[in-house]
Amino acid sequence: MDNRIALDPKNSIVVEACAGSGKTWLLVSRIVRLLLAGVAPGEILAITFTRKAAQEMQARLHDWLHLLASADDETVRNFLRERALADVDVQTFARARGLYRDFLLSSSSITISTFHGWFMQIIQRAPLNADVPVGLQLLERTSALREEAWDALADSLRAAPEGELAQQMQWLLNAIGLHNTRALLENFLSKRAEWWAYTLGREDAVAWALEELRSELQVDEDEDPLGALLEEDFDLTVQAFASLLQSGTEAQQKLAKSLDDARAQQELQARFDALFDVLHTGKGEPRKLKANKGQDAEHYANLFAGILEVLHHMQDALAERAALRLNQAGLRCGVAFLQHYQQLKLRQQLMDFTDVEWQVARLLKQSDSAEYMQYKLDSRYKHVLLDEFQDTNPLQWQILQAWFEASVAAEARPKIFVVGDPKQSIYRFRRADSRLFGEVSQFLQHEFDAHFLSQNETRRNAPAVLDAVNGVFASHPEGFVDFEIHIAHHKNLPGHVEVLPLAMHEASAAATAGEEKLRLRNPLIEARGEDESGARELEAAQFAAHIAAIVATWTVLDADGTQRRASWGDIMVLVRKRTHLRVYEAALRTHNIPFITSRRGGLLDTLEAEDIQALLAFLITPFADLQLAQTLRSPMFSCSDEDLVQLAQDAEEGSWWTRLQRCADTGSAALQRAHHLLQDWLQRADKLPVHDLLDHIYFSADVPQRYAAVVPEVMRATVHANLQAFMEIALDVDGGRYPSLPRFLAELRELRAAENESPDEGRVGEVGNALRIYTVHEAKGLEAPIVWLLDANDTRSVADSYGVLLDWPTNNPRPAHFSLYSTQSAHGKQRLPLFEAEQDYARREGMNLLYVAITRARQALIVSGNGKNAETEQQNKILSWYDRIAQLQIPCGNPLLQDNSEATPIKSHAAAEVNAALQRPFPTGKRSDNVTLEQRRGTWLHALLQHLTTFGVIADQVVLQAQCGIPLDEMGALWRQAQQLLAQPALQRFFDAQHYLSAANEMPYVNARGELKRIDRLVEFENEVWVLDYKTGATPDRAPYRAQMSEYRSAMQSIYAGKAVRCALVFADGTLSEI
Amino acid sequence: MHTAAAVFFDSVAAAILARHARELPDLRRVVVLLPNYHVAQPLAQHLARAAQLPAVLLPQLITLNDWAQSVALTQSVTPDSCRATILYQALRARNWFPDADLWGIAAELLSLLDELTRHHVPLPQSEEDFLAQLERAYQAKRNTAMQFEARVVHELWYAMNASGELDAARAMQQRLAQLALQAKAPLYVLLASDLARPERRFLQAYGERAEVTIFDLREMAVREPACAVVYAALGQLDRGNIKQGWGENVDDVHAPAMQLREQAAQLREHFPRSALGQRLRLFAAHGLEQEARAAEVQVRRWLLAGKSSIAIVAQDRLAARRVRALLERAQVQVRDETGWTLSTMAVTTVLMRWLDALQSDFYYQDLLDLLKSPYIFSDSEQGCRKQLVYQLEQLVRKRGVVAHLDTFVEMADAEDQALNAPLARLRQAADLLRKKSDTLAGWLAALHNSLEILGVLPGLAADAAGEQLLGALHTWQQELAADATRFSRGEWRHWLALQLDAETFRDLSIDSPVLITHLAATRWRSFDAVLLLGCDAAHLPSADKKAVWFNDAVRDTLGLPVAAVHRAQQRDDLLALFALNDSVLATWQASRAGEENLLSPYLEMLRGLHTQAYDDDLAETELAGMLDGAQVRTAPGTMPRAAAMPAPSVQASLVPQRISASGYNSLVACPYQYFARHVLHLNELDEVREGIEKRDYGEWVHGILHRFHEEFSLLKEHHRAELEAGLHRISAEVFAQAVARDYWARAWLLRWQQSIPAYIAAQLQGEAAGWRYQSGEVEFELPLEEGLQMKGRIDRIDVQAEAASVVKVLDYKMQDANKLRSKLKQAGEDVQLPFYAHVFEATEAAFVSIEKDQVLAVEPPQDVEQLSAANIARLKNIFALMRSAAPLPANGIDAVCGYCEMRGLCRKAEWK
Ligand code: SF4
Repeated sequence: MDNRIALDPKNSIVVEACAGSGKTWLLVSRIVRLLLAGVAPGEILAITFTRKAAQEMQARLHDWLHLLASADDETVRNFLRERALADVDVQTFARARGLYRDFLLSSSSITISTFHGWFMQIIQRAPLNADVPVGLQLLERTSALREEAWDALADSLRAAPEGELAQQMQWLLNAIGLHNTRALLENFLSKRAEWWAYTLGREDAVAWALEELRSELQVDEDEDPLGALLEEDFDLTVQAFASLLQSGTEAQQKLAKSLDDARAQQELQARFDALFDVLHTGKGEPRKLKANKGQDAEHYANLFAGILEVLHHMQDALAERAALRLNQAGLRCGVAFLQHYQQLKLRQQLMDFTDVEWQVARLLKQSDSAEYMQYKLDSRYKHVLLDEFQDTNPLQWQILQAWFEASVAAEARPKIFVVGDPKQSIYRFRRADSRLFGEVSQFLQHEFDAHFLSQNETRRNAPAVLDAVNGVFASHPEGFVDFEIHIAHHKNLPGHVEVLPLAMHEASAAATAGEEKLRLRNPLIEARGEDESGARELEAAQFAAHIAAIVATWTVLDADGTQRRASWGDIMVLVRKRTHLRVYEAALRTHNIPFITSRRGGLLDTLEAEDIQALLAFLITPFADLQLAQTLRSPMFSCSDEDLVQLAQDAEEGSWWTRLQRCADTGSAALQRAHHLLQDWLQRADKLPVHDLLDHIYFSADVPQRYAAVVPEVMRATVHANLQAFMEIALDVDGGRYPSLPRFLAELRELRAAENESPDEGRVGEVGNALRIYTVHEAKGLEAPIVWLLDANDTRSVADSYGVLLDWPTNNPRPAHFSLYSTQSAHGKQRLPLFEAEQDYARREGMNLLYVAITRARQALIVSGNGKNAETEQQNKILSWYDRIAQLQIPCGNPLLQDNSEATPIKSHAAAEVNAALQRPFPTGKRSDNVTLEQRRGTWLHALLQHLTTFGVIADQVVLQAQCGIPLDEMGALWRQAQQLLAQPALQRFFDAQHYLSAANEMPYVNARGELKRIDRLVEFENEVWVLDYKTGATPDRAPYRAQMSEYRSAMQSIYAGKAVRCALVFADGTLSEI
Repeated sequence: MHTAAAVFFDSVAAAILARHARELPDLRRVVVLLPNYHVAQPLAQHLARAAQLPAVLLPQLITLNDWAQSVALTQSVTPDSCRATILYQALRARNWFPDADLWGIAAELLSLLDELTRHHVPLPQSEEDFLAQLERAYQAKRNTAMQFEARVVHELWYAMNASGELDAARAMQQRLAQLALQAKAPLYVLLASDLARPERRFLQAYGERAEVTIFDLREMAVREPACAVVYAALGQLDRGNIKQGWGENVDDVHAPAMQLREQAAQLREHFPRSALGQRLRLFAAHGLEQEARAAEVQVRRWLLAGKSSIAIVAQDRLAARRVRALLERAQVQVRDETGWTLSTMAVTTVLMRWLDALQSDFYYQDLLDLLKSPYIFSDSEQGCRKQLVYQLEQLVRKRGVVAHLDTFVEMADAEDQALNAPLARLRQAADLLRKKSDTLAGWLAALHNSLEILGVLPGLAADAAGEQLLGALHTWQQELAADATRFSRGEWRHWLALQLDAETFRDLSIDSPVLITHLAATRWRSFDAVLLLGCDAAHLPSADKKAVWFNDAVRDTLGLPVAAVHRAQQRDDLLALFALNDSVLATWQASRAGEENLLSPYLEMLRGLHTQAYDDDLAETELAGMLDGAQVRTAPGTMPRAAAMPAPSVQASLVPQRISASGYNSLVACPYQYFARHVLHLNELDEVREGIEKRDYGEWVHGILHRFHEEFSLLKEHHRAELEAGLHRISAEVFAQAVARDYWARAWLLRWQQSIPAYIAAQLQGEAAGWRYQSGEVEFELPLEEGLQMKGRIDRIDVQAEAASVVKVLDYKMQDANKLRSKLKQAGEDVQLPFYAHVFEATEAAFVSIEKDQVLAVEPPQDVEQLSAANIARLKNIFALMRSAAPLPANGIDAVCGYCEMRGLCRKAEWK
């Protein structure tokens, strides 16, 4: 590929680049080139697929700019040369040097973001009257709200159980059951952007969509599809066929009889079913009925074919009708469900990703608002860079297109740079469409004069791994047509591919032992064998054992070329779906292998997180005995079973907590400790925010250390990280509005229930050296020295049985087809091409997945599978991933397997020596004692006096009250008190301006020691100066104030050298007491 | 006094004293404007030191805001709460935003109008002119969206100004104008960053009558060698279009065109040793926890080193919260100057939960959550309140009551009268808020009264934040007393939520050398040490809230501050902080959840330059290694031992005396599970079920079938149609209640109805084979041996028509036949059928699998009599073993453990 073209800021570019070819390098290089060409950061928009990728890009960019600023001239020239800038002039060179600073300190900032992030930015710039909530919030987890919408739908149905909607619902429930109805409607909901696009501008969307569908399916509702059964011709044909059979073999005669019986059925549907069943096998295929010798073979065949044709025609017509019926009910209910969902969000000013996307698309398609949003955004993009373009969906592309068009209107058509790889398109379930890549590539070449480039050299994989890639894909299996042979950049990187034999389950001997004498297992003595342990369990055991061996005996090469021992962290395990992860995880646990699982909700399901949840639940429901028992047994308290028995045995009964309280003095040390701590926590649970409570719990019960003591060594890091992650959830929740412990627990329950929510979210918790398990989808953009493909011979795909059939040609503004389907009814003929296209596409995506999976491996690829489905696969003749790799010629020998005792072990960071004082509490700071009301009244009075004497007596009471922060019910009394005080004859000379030369309130001065002091009121007379100090207490005990007053006196004396300085206390009751 | 800051204060003090030497010791005539009052103390000190007198009467040390407030106005100021309602009304009347949240829009508008006022932006008289102005600023052709924006702002601006009322922004303006008019005193200003336009105007006006002197920290610091690197890196301020009147004095180290390498070389030349290296370190943390730990340990190290004023500048609030908690472990209390919005505090939770409960008609979760708040019923004893809540909760769980106050009341009447009183209070309080509409003040009054009835007031009053909340409610009520606009409960609630979001609570009752504060509050302050927390690119500079109106270009043309101003401000604050403090640790999360996270661009720049000049990247290297060792721990008791499989043995006296089929099943599946369930008698709490679950379905079908067979004991005597009709009728009756309550119950009914024909067919087939229904739902209790009874309830018993002694026990299962078959495959692993067979001396036994349109009898593959005998023998054997203290191991298989509620007790995950 020619970087001179690709990186030239003047060009628009489309790059198709294979896995590991350095797309990030290319993209960031392009950004550097743009900056060098004088493009302002704010004029650049780069869109990537994940936040993680965006962050990486940012970091890379900073690193490079830093390098440009700091490295020696030669390095910089090299850097530029690699990016197709040979022989730069002095000016450009200087520019390159200065980019770092300009970029960091510029107030115009680059946008490197995901689509979602960018859309959020745009939508916040929507026109005010665009029906987009002001200050909208993004709803990231939708399941709770969908649940609520579902309930709302039920309520509305219940309110009108005979209404039209309810009838449609009743139909659905009857036809496909509650579970599938929900699945169908949820799928409709998740395709709502397509639905809106499909029905945009239609008044009655459902009616219109149904009318469209009716004509597509060619359903004529006035006509009975079974009408042909009544036609004489047909009946005669059947009759003729029956009589022909009658003349034949016994089997034929039997058929003839059945045919006659069928013909006799009165009801048409029954007659059709009977006829159909007679002539078809159980699987619905036509029976192979051959004519006998002696029967007119041709006549026989004609008759049979004639009947079949009519029947099949009817069958199709029925199927189309059933499909239409499903849509009638499904769309109607789906739209109702959708309405509830949208309403709920609107009420809370929320939008989810789909809404945002749709709204952005909607607004950008209106030229007025599109323009408005363009200029309202503070940056105007002159360069748009799109990463991982194959994962874009049609709506997103439309948004981009609309944006480009609007930019043209704003006279600034951007340059576009697109990188992608249709081979890695695996996000169909998120509505991505890899065909878009081709379309867009065409479009850009046409409209933007874009150059098309492709790159098949990879910097990631070892040649051995690449051989496997080329071996599997060179033949373009399953429509993988865009594959070209990949070339390795690192030709000498040692690599290894290994296909383990399929784990096969041998029928155990025990199964046949049924005949023997009945022998029942005694569970106290003998554990039940994990008898279902079949092939998968075997595979898992193999897997774990092999992993242990790898870490013991393999070496890997670091990016900088150092050879070191393989560690758990070098291994990435890939599965297609999470279904069976538990089995493999169990095997890893048995081998004490630390790992991070990708199982959703993993954190909250771990034992340690459950312990904490049980504890918190106990703290708000102290009668939750089981939760208490779990807490007691957990490492927090490590109570024994005997302890539990003691509690269970308590004669007085009552909740376990009351029992525990009773044995506060008699129980074991563990019980006593538990009682003591729980008592304390119950007190605090009331008022402390969740995080603070949790922190106190962790600390006071020494939680992390105690867990560490209990769990096996290899699990320690994970458990520790999980405990920490739990704390962070609490921290997060505490930042929210109106927190409470019950609400927190309710949210955790929601989180646990909501599987598959917000797939972009990062995993909670970080663990150092642990094996990682991902789905292939999650592994996108990642790599590892060693990759293991588990369960690779499973070909079953998890197609939705109830969903939306969609045809959205990539260049269309709206879908061409939108309908619901179910497996319950046959798919019919009319939609068949669409279903088939879907299937082809799914198979192709399966290949994409495999491509992504294999190309994650830098040095080693290991593949395993189990024999469970071998048979079915044989029948379906589907090649599994396992088969495809196993077929290859794989060279023997493993270059990674070598004596690794010499290799550098992974370094662990050395613990520094710590000052022992850091391990002890260091009491610091204190809470001032609660101010009594009396003291506060003093302060208020003080403030009042201050005001009254500064501004005179006419001040507005209400304003004054607010300014001094005096509660309403206090004001009256204080006001009177202040007035009284000021009116005291004895004090007149201090407050009435006629009597003195000058007076000051709150008079600050500083003494020689630098201490800042304030005098409540300083009054200056002809010959003397008075220092007044207001005192709130009623006791005229002057002793405590002497020192203070003498400090005042001496300070003032130094200032008013010629006057007498007199000091006095003024008490609330008006007493003046001179000191 | 810290050396770093002393230089600056010295020169300020010297300058003031030099000008006013003759007035000493009385400087009261002079005014010094401070950025905040923390500065007063050091300034006074330096004045004293410079004056060398026993006492000096200080200048007026005041912030501009307070100074302005001291000016009295003749007209009273309209509170913002009132203006918001006026604006709300105006918006409502115009119906521009039909479905929108008008309070949100009103708030946004109000802040725009205030900004316009504050910055003296005149809007043109005609809307057309304004539109033209926007058009130019946006550099775009006008269109409807722009027209609309112009219209909204223009029209409401004039509408709001027409009233002639005085708002806070205007009042401030008048006050400043008056101050400037009366200017006499020489004025000194301490500055760390650019002045906003209103202040600048004021100083200019003031300066026309009296002398104004400005101490700009940036100019002063630029000349300090210690600040050289910092200024070299960040000092070249691109103030962009904001003009700055106080001449910039930039020396050549800070030339804009200079490149990093040259700059570094010059620095090294001028200052061979880095002063900054001593002052600033950067700590890159992996994740929040490490950052918080590092911060906490560093603060304690400083304390140990005797530092007596330590600031934690919290760019990241979450991290700060975490740090505070960690410090409290070491008994280090922290003074928090930043505070929390009321809406995130427990005191407002009780209030909002109360409104939630009203809204949801006392949905049980809202209700319980409300009642668990320590603030409710705080007029009675707390233990007593808790006791009542738990009683209520137990009852709610038992009865499965989901909502409706009436239902709770009925339940209490019937079962627990102690609950009557609290529920009555709830009702009484609820009645106060059951109205369609009211004024805001009216709603607030009703709320107050309802809180009084609920005993919330004393609880809140006893808490500082609660007190502030009450005060705020009260103030709003007063302010709005005259407003007659009526609002629905929803509108009011929304209003309230916004108000609570805007109110900040600060707990200033803690006195400590360690304090949390924000960057802007550190202006001109110096500390013994500063911890800058959360210095990643996302938090430093922090993003300002994007206003809804206009964009930066328009704001700039109008004369409103733009984002660059906000950023410049923070950069200046940061510069000042480095100038004034000689011990700073900045921390950030270099990675979070496996994602890279960038350092603040300012610090990155600084680091870049420093590395280049001194080959020191400022990284803090000691801390990471000491985090583990530097934890404060509670006196560790004896550590627990490593986990192992539990296998408790039970004293003979505690061995259960009765066993059911499911108990036996549990015993077989996992003896420990049996131990937990039947020796410890632990159960899961009842949960309030809101939807219908499969087990409800199972129960209903059991009920239906029982009634059906009682009514039609011999099916073949009836017509098929009659049977079906009968079964349908009974089904409808059994489901009736559920259907009335929950729409989806219909779905379950339909599901069952689909099984009806198959069920009847299967039953007829059974009859044809000679089986007769004998009885259903039979409870039994049967002594098995000394000290052990079998007990339970069987779904159904059939006998042979010809030989009534030939018995078959049946159990209905709403499960697919294959699953049941595999359950029965291995003898002795599912004991339900043999258990029943023994009790009823049956020779046959079967599960009846009912699933969709299939109903099948599934029988054990073994001989039932033998099987049953063997099972019973084993049962006796196990019990004998138990009585002789045999251990009960936790040996369930994974399939069992997956659904076992005792997994937290046996702790398999820890030892497996
Ligand atoms: S989790 Fe498994 S081992 Fe533990 S008690 Fe339950 S069944 Fe037994």
